[in-house]
Amino acid sequence: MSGPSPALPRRIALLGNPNCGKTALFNLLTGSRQKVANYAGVTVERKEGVMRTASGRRIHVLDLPGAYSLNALSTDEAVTRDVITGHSQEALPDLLVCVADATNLRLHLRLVLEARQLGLPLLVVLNKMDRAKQLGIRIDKALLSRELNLPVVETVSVHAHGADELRALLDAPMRDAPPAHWRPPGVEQVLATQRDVLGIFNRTVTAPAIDQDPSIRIDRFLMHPLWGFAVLALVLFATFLAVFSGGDMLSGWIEDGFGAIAGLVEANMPEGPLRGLLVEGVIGGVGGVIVFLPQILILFLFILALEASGYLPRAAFLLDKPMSAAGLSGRSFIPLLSSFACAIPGIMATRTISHWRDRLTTILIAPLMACSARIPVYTLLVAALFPDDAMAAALVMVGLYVLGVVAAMTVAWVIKRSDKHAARSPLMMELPAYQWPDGRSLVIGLWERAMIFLRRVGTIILALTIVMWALYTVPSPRENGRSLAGELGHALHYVFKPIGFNEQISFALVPGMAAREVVVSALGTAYAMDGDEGEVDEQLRERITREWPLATKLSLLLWMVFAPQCLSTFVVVKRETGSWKQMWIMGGYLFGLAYLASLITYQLTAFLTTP
Amino acid sequence: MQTALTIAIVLGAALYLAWVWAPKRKSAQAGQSAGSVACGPCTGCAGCGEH
Repeated sequence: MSGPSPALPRRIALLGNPNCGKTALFNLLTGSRQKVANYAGVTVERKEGVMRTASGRRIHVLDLPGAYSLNALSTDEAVTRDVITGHSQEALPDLLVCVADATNLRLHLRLVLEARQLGLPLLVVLNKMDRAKQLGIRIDKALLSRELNLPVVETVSVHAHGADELRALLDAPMRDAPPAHWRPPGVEQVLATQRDVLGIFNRTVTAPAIDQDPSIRIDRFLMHPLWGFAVLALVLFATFLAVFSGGDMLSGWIEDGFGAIAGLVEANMPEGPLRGLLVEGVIGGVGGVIVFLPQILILFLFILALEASGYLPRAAFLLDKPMSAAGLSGRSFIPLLSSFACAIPGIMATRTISHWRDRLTTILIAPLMACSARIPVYTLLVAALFPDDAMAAALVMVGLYVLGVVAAMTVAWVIKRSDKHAARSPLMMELPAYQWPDGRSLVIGLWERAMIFLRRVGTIILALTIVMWALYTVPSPRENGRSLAGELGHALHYVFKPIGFNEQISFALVPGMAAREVVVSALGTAYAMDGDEGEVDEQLRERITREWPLATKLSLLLWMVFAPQCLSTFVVVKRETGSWKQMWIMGGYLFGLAYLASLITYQLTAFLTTP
Repeated sequence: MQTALTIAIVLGAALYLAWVWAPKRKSAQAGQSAGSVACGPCTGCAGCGEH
């Protein structure tokens, strides 16, 4: 049996500008389910898949990070450049597939010409051809192919058969050419390439007047200095309103479901440690976290829809000027917005910020954005603070988010002030065309997030709640006065006493370092262990309302806003900055800020409320 | 019986956490930059795209 012909590509790499539809094409070719976004540079990790050509031959496909040029300005572009110039551990691909957005060919041709200079086998894909036709753009494909001296194919990456022509072409033998040595281009060379781009574009593309593009008309309103901000404020308000009001009903159903399961176990199982573990540890602990799934999914629905619509880069542009007052640029907006879901992808998204100081500042303040793991703790404490006033509770919730943002901007401003030589970096970003979010992509995106959350609940959080239950149970607190968790909480209590935390809270912060949501189940387990079995969720809320002084509730809320409580965030900061020092700076200032805020809040509230 | 099962479950959970959080070095597969390590301790945030 003979292997595949050496003249046929076995490993190809997709190369292209951000927003050219490269990731969507990768999904179409490989069937992999990967996030498709409009924000420039979302593909920051290496992605590889396997596709089949028209003849059924298997080919490995590498999805390279988006790059405007091989003359790299960001980490993403440097990764792409290194892979295709042979300066990485990656083997050189047999064939480069350069994906260009047919609606924006003048911009995307530059990368095609740069890639051609590498000497590797190369073919050009004109993606989004359906939209180009809608906009009245005519491309003479045959002439373009002759001008470039490269094969050119058309694709529509959002259609099932949109890449059939490409699949067929990958069965054709490639020309055998030795790769050329790549050197960073000089100014003259860049200008010469740009002249070539314009020449080829003018000869091969016929485009109508630019204001026929509906995106430009929409931008006149959405990018307006006044109305643009009004719309952005409305969008953000609607997002948070939906998160905190929309998920209630679904959460109630989930809570009832777990309550019913706990009741069934209690009714059908003899009393003993296993029943205690199942009811208090597993059902109570896991159920206490899983009820927040609806809120988390609603938040992700908004982020995914805004990304897919093309609105997020506009929001970044709008916010560039206000953010510059704090020493940031609009480019920091999307990483910071992503941090509302989770700080880790937010910190990783800073790779698209080319200016190192801006990037470092964004990384250092990202944990101050209230991530979705904080929703369970906020909800519990705010409900305990305002048990009968939903409006006040909603306002305080919004206030907690605003407090995190204000603190982040203040810290950024302080960093800017401390750097006397800081130069402002201008924001240059491609604005993709507006489009309706694809329903299928949204459903897939939400499904992925739900699975990630449930997998996390079913693995890390489940294991943590089981171990916590054991620590609270051994030795029996009813017989020995204090469990292992009680002893640990008692020891930590000396550190946290000045800020009003009792032993239960002090211990709950420990597993909370691994997953913040677990603070809720840790408290639930702690109070269940003290007395009544099965006392979780609603009972926990009532007990906090009843037993904790106002000063402690407020102090813990402030602690949750500022304190770094996620070890993964530390590790990602170390990895992304390459510096232990920056990691400790982040941890140190966040702990200091949290302790100080909680101390002032607790002492002041205690003073004011003491009769 | 309940006690034995409970101990087994708790030990299993503790071992699982130890396994998840044990420092691991990623295999030197193609595409990983030199010295690239896993995020760990993992909280399954999916930030790395692997969970």
